[in-house]
Amino acid sequence: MDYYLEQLSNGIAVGSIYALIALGYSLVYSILNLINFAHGYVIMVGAFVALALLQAGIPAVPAIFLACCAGALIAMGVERIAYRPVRHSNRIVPMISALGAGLVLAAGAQLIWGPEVHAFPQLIPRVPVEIGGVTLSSQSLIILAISLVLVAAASWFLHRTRFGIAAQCVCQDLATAQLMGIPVNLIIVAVYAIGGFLGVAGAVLFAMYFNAVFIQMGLLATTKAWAAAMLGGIGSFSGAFWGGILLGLAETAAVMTAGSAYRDGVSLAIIVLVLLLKPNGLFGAPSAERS
Amino acid sequence: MAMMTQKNGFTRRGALRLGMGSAAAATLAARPMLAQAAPLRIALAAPMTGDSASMGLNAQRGAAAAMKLIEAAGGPAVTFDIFDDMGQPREAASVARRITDSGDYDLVVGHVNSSCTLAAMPIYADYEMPVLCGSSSNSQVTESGWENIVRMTIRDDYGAQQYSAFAVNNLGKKKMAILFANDDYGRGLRDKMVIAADALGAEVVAEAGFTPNLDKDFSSIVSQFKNAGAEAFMLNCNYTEGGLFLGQAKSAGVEGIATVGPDSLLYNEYIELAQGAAEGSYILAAYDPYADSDTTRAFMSGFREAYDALPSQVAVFTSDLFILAHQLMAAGSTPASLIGDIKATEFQGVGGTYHWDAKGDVKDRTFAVITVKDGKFASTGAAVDETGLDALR
Repeated sequence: MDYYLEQLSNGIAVGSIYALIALGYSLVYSILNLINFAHGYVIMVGAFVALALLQAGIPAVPAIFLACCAGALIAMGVERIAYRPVRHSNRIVPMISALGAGLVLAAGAQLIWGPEVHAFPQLIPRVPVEIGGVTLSSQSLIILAISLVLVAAASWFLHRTRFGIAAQCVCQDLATAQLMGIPVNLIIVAVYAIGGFLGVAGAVLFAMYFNAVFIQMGLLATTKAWAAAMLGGIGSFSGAFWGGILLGLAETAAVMTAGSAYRDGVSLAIIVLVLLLKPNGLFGAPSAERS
Repeated sequence: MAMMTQKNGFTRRGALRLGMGSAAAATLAARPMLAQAAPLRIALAAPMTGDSASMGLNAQRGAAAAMKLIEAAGGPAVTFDIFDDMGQPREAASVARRITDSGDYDLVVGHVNSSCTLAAMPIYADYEMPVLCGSSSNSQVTESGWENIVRMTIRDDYGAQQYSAFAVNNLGKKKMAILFANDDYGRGLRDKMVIAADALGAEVVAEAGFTPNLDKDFSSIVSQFKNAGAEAFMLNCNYTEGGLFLGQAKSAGVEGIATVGPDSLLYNEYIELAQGAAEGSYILAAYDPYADSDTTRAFMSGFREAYDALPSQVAVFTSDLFILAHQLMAAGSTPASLIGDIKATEFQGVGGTYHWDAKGDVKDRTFAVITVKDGKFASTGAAVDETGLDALR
């Protein structure tokens, strides 16, 4: 029994990290109906920036804050260079240019930091905590809490603030929003910046939990978080959260039953099944496709 | 695509390349007589980009170190070009095609990953191109009937017996949990290890494969191993995953379990990534970085000065292969006779003494047992107790 509870907690910890990264996707998607394939790479660079700042001797809190700001800046740059010029093209075009921007970021990061996996300092104490006979890592509990807070905050921000409501107008109809006096370009840039900021926060937690920063993190984050966002219903914040948690649990269940080598196969098969039955994901609202 | 990325890699290490270029030029200028003879042209095939890029970097550094030694030794000039196989069998086959089609090379040093060597060998065999392989340990590399290859590292079927024997006989552990990379290398090692454990009267209580360079979460595997009552962790993987696994085990409260692994763990990053949990773990290395020989000491300290890193097995074997080829060519070998001449010779390199059997495998080489002590690698001087392995031979 203990074994199953322990595996459950492993699944929740990994799942909440996926959820945090999926949040960045959902944010951009909910406003722009666009899958931001560069997101994973942006936050990978952010995690490397955090590592570089920490190694330069900057205290943890300002270092991570600065890295998040760097993530926001890079996301704004990607928006300006890879998205804005093709915003009104066929939807495939920005997707491809995003992938291109991601590859450029990955190659740039490898030139600067090299191909090796780097260890990330443990900023949150990493001690085994025993709750009712089950050993949990203190870090995974803190990660779960941070993930919950950020998902709730993003949801509040988008649904309850002036900015958020303006962003939803942009989502409903870009041209009309512009005619109504909403500064569309500013809103879109800000959405990317917030996505990058939160994404880097997620990436730093990811780096701490796995104790590693590496170039392929961009691709890993892209595939896992995207799968989580799809599972939960892309565009929905609670969907991103539950999608992440469920993906984490599905992976752990796959390790326990089919063996760890089949982890991705089993978990992705579950996602395909869910999407066959509920094409909008578990929490996504059915919406008419805009051309 | 491959050529493009390869060029990027060159730019990053541009300074290094310049250094090697001028070294070769100096050799030519100083020995006009020899310069008239065609230089020995080596194609170094290694993963310069992609997930195994750090091994490619080590191959390049090993080659650079060898070039300095070759320059100091005199004899025919050596030039080399690097071909990036990206650690992918598909790219390795295309690299092999480019090397053989160009007609510009006398021999190949490489590839690094077993799966790449296995994919490229049929092409080299067609062209009877001599292949000097350092680190591919899959048994099929020399069991497929190719006569144009020799290798430096110890085969993984022999290795798997040794790792198991060390855990069972030297450490007295009867319940093993195997963590393996789910590729040609890791699966090959795992299969042989299960057979060896059986022969030694030990039990494999748990095993877990992972996708190399992709999976970074080992927490559920740690729980699985712990639940199965493992007494020894057998790590059939590279330093990244090995280090991450131990670090994540520690944070889940699983500590102090005997750990045995191959020399793909012998990187400083292994200790760093394990965050203290690598202490006391054992690594069975196909070469001894702490061997009591002047050649080894000079190489190790030179490498540390130049790169602030411990040379990996890939660096040591690449360097030794360059020097081996150079020595034999200086003694009159031709590309056509090279493999036969290597099999007939005994070579003293940084990694110790090598001689080869008819298949191209090294003979009579044993593992050096290395441990982690006070956050550093240290030699134990121990030897693997082979009791009970006779049944397998």
